[in-house]
Amino acid sequence: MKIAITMLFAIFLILKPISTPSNKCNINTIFQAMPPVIWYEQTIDGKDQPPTLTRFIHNKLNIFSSQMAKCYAYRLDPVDIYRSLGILGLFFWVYFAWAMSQYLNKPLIFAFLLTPFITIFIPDPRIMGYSYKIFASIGFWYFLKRFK
Amino acid sequence: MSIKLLVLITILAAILRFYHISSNPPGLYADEISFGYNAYSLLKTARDEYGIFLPAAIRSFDDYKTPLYAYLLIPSILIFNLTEIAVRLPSAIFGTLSVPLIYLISLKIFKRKKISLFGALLLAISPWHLQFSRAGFEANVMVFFEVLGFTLFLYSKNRLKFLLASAISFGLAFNSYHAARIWIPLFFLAIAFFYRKDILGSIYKITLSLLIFALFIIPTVLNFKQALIRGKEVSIFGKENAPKEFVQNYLAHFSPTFLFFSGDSIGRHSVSGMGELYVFQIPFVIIGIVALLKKTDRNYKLLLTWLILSPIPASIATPVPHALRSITSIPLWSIITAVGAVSFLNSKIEKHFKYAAILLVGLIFAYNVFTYLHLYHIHYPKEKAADWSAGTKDMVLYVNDIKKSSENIYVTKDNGIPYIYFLFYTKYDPKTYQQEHGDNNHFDNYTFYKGVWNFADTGEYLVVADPGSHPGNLMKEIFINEDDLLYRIGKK
Repeated sequence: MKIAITMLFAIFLILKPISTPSNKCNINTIFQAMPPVIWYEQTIDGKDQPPTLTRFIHNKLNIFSSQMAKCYAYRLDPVDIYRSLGILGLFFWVYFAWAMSQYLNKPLIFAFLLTPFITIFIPDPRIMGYSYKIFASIGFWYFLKRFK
Repeated sequence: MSIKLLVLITILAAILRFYHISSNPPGLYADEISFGYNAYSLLKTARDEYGIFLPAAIRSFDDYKTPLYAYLLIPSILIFNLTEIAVRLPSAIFGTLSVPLIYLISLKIFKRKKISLFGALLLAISPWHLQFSRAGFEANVMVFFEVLGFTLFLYSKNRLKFLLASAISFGLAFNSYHAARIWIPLFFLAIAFFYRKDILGSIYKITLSLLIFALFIIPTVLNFKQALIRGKEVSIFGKENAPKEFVQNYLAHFSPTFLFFSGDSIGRHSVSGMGELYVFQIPFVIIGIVALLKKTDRNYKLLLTWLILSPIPASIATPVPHALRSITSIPLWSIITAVGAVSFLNSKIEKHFKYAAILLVGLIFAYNVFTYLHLYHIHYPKEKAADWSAGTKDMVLYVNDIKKSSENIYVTKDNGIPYIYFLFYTKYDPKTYQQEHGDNNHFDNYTFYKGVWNFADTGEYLVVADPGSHPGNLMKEIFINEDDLLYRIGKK
């Protein structure tokens, strides 16, 4: 019975159209952004600042990792998740995250944390919408499991 | 030992809040100036700029500001006159004093000195809290009184004085910022819900406290129409799809991008390249929330309810996410991070892994704080000078220096609200201004105009124009950051 209800919920979620993400960053846009960002930051630092300090703060590695982290964070934007799943779907997506912290299901935790990272390498960011649906459906399953 | 550490943390908080406070942020923005001049007017005449005797709301730019900050500024202006430090001093002081209060709250709830000290340290260095403590934001004062009220409430068991002081503190918070009129009642309801048994057991004390609190609501009730003006300007109500927009606005305040990477898009509210919190806080925020969720203690639940309710005042308005209107959550993020960090330290994971994680997070912590201080003190004054109306002071002082009493002076309004800057920086006599006050377009021999300078005055005049206009014989150009032209001053 629970499986059937979960399947129905999953179908309901899958049929919901995926909204376009508010930010369409990916690995290409990250690389494109780096030179102007570095130039901008170093220009603001000005000529008077010791070059070592400028390089310590505004180096390629730092800019790249901050751009990657920002892009990762965009993939977990609750507004985008709400737009793709609706309020009920969002609730079960959050419930999934909560369930992971309780049951410590390692493969699922890795999948949950890695999916936003992997999708950075895929040009179309809407792919992330499907992961929201999958995790919300699993969250729904965990939610049903509470009731015997 | 912990008290010594708390004193050190508070000193650190004070240093971070007072260091170069007059010059960074790089100018006084219009609301700061308005609070400053109205406080000056209250000091000299007991009336605001419009001549209202001891006003319960500061009309200012017809947005009817909550009055507390203007009254708090009076002693500061008495000592430092109309200067940047005078306008920002109360905010910086209350921001600093919020730090030990976080220690007291955490100690009462968790009974762990590590959590309390780390929570206080995190608030002391919080980019979000520093941003609003270093400028004359009345909302920062609200956070102080909210936290003070909550601290006094937590320690009020069998202490009626503390309970009454708590009611006064919440009452002051209610009168310190527009969003407080939504937030403080919500916070009250949350406290009442989780402490319902205690409340029902001491009806007399609670009724007395509520009566005291009610006294502080009277100014808002008496000025109810005016109190709604600012809210109506920014509200989402009446818009199409308002409920959906509310949900999206609410969720935006939990966006990891807003919290950890980009912050508020308004230049006065955050530093570019930083989130409202530090990146190193991410794992601890997650662990902290999970730790709070697992416990059944009512104080833990109250903290989580605080977190859930805090974006509501910001969510019924635009733009979002809004760091200022959701300012009530700042102390909470520090406490949650501290809970997460201590939970991690006490967890039963392998020692080697724990030490490696502590080392890694410690390095990221140091790098984050160093980067923030660099961005705030080197980048911010250059990048966001326009947001703080930098250059307007130079213009006012120059015009005041060269003007003749006989000539008319025309000043563009395209770069903000110049009349209040002239009042403030020329220390214009409030009594004279109140007597001659018509609207904000004229006073003395100043006229403030909108658009391109294109009319002629038959007599001798001075004109301050926007960069696109040609104000007669050019006398001076005012720049910000050496190359961004802000004003052209000419004479006929």
